[in-house]
Amino acid sequence: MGVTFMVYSLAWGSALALMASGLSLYYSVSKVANFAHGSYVSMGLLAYLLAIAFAHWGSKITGFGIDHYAIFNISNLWALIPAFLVAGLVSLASFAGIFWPLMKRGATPLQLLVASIGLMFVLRFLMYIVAGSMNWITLWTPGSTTYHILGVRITLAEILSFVLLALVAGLIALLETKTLIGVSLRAIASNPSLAEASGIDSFKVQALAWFLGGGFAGLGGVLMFIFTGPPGGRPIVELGWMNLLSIFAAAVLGGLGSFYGTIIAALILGIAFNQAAAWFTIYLNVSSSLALLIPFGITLLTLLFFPQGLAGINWRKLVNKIRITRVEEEVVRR
Amino acid sequence: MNIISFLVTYLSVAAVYALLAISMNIDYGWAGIPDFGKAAFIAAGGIAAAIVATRIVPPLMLHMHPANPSKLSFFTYYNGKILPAITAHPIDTWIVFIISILLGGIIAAGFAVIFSYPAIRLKEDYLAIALLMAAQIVWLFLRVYTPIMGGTMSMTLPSPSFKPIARALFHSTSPSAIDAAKALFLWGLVGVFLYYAEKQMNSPFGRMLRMVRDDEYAAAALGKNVARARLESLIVASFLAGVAGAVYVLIHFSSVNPDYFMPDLTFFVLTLVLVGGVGNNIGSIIGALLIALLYRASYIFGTSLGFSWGSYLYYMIIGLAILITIFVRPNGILPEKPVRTPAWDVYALVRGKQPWFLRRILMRGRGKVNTGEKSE
Repeated sequence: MGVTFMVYSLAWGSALALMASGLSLYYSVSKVANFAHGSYVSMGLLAYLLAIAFAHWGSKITGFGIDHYAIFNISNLWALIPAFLVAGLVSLASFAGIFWPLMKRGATPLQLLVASIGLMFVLRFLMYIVAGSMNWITLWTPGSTTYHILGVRITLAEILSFVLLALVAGLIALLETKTLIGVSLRAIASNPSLAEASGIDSFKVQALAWFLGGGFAGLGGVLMFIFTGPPGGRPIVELGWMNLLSIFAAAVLGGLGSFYGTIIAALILGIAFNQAAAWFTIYLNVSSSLALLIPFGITLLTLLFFPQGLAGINWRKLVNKIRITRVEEEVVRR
Repeated sequence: MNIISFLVTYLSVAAVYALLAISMNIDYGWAGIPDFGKAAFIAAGGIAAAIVATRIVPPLMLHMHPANPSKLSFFTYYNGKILPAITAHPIDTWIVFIISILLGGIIAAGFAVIFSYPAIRLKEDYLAIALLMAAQIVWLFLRVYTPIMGGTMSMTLPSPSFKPIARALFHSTSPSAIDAAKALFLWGLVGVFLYYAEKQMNSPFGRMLRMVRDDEYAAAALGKNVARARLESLIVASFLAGVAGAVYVLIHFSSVNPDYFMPDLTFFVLTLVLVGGVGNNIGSIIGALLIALLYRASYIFGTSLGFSWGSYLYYMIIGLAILITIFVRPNGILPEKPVRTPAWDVYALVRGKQPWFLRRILMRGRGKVNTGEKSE
């Protein structure tokens, strides 16, 4: 396995981590398994493409023409900001307009799940209007600037996905420890009724989590599109939907609702998925889309053996157990 | 366009949707399981139909070699030899149909056990995710793995022949008579599903499922095995979904293609149940009739708009139907009815809570009728 491929797998995993950690962030406070999360991913991508199209208004930007301008280089980096904002605002609007009123009415988790599906279809249709009128329904990946550092081929998108993931992880760490609203976020995640009783504005805190979560999903969507293009040759609007499986796999493996667990799980999945995809095409001669079996299998095993995910495992206890068994073995040997 | 022929075609489409909706109503409506893997269980019917038509019936009934869809020579052999041989006799097409629905149900029940086993004891969210993944994997697998239904190329299937039925019923074999016979047969099948579902719903099994749905802890405290009840409801529903899936490919499409079983299909079926009424079988059928009409209308309207996104208008219709139902009428058009049991009948007799048309008969000679409302 080349270093280049390893870097690619990790970068893919980082993009997945951005998308999945967004889901985890608001799941931890609102407990909504949101199937519309994939739509926020595609929204981010469409906002990126639209921003670039507006910057080059008048040139040939419809159809495959956008691929020429949307190449991921330093001068196009600013377009990530609209991607973050649009995805975040759509996410915030869906929370404030749909999930919060439903929660106030005492909707069951099942009703929230189903509502998220309805939202997903509506958002998907709105995106089809945008993508259809710009003639962008099928696009190839525009690619990215490539650098050679110490003999390793690395693209700007790969560098940026590491940088963004580090930034996001750091930002959330600072938010959750240093600011009042971040501490309230953790309070609501661990005990919602106690948090509300002590005077925390639940709506404001949850809205922040949804905004950030949707925004991260949008960033991850742009990067994922640069890496893989539309998965399985589907329309670009379904980018998020086709990645939803991996997003949920990462979220479940990390322990649904655990931010850092999800990031680590996504990186693990990135390596496993891409290795399997390469393996399937090279040795078994079957389509690489079947590599989705890996996230699926990992999720099923997680649910079967440790449903709390990576975050639920008591690592210290596990390490101690291993240490104790080693000591016991030595005792037996003597 | 002839209004009668449109109505007949619409009724047979709606009947297929009603079959799918009744199977969804059993696990989503009664047991409260977010069965987002319905597409996989419907696909089981498609798998069964493809296997029966290519590999089981030719050696069994026609003394021909089974066909392998992954080979290049498949289409000349299958379309040229096997299909004409099966469709030559109406009985053979019905044998294909009957073996397919049975095998489809069995495969679907097996899928249900395998896919739900890891998550059946966990919260709804986890079960929903696991089942959705199962649907996506089955779809991708069918696209990639050609020996089952030949990958993404559509494979024609021997649709059961309605000619003899049309001749016996209407004394003609014109296309409209055949369509009418088809619609009649499909609604008969809906009747069978409805009878079975109503019987199950009012049995102790059905009451246990509702109890598990409404209060898991109370059910566990009364000695019900919650995980087992959920698994059983999923198996029953998936068996029906497999049967409905075989009907879906053999009669509705008369061909099979993995893209018929895209995971979106699940949510379409879910919409039928939600709009019609969760936990009410008649409601599911009404939902199927309504949404089939809306779906068709939105498709015709969307494609006539002339925009490249017009054909996606049905996403909007389905999404809005789900959201409006959840907000305005969470129980659907027809809400769930109370269970009919002997005990309930006695209670109704005592409190006078019978349906209006029975009140007169039951209360005859009792003097004052107690309407059940508490009077001051």
